[in-house]
Amino acid sequence: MKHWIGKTTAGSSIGIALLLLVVACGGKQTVASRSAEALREAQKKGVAPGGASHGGHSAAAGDHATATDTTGDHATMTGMDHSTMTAGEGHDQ
Amino acid sequence: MRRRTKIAIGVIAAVVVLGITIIISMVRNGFSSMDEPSAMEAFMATTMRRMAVPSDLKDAKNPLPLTPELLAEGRAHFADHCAGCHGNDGKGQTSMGPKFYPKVPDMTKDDTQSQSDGALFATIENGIRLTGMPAFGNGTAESAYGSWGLVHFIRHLPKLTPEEIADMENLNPKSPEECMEAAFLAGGEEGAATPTTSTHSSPPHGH
Repeated sequence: MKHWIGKTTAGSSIGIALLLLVVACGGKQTVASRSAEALREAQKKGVAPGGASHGGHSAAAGDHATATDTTGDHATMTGMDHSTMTAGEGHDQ
Repeated sequence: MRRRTKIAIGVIAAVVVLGITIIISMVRNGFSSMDEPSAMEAFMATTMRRMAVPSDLKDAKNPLPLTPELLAEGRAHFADHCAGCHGNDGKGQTSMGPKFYPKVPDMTKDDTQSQSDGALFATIENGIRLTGMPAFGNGTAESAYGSWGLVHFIRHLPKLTPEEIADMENLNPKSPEECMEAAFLAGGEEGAATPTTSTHSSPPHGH
């Protein structure tokens, strides 16, 4: 009887710990799954999201300066300000 | 006390003493991202990365057919967003790559190439916690299109030609100084004399 109670307690503890781990790590659908799902839906509807994907580069033209996408703004991204970086150099001590 | 119990206590005590010694040594010396991760750390990180891939993407195949256009888009995308850390050739030998912890991997090698399309996609979209790899996804079809295009390009990395690398160099983000120099060389002295606040040569964009 005592042995049985011990096993149940241990099993429950492990179960609760795993549940807490899942909750702590998020437990909701990730951005990757949502993006993939959105693309599947778009393909089902026959909408081709191509062209100006993330950056709107005109790869075929090979001209970076002609990219026309204005859907985002690096300036609003905290922690990604390139203005103070000199190509990663000059940090060596 | 039984002999076996005594041995067990002795082993546990030795492990505890060893652990405390290691912790004291680490705290005294501090940490640097220049260090190489230990084999145990690398194993744990690789396992965690594998576990972090959502189940619906684990064995997913790239849903976009490989075309020269899509590959070119992926290449341009990579040159702009990824090459700063990964290098145009994907080998990670950039000014910053070897200074990350863990180091930026050589993506032409088996460690990356053996991963499923879905795992690569998930890494691009979700990023990798506790590393320098940020999440680039935003949950849209456009984001997925760009990331699947990148997956095609990552597969192509081992076969990258010098011509493609040269083309990518024109697409890499430029510092303000490089922009001014390019403008000056192009004869646009006006542009060279007027520093822009933009840190990229391209218009602002998401991702």
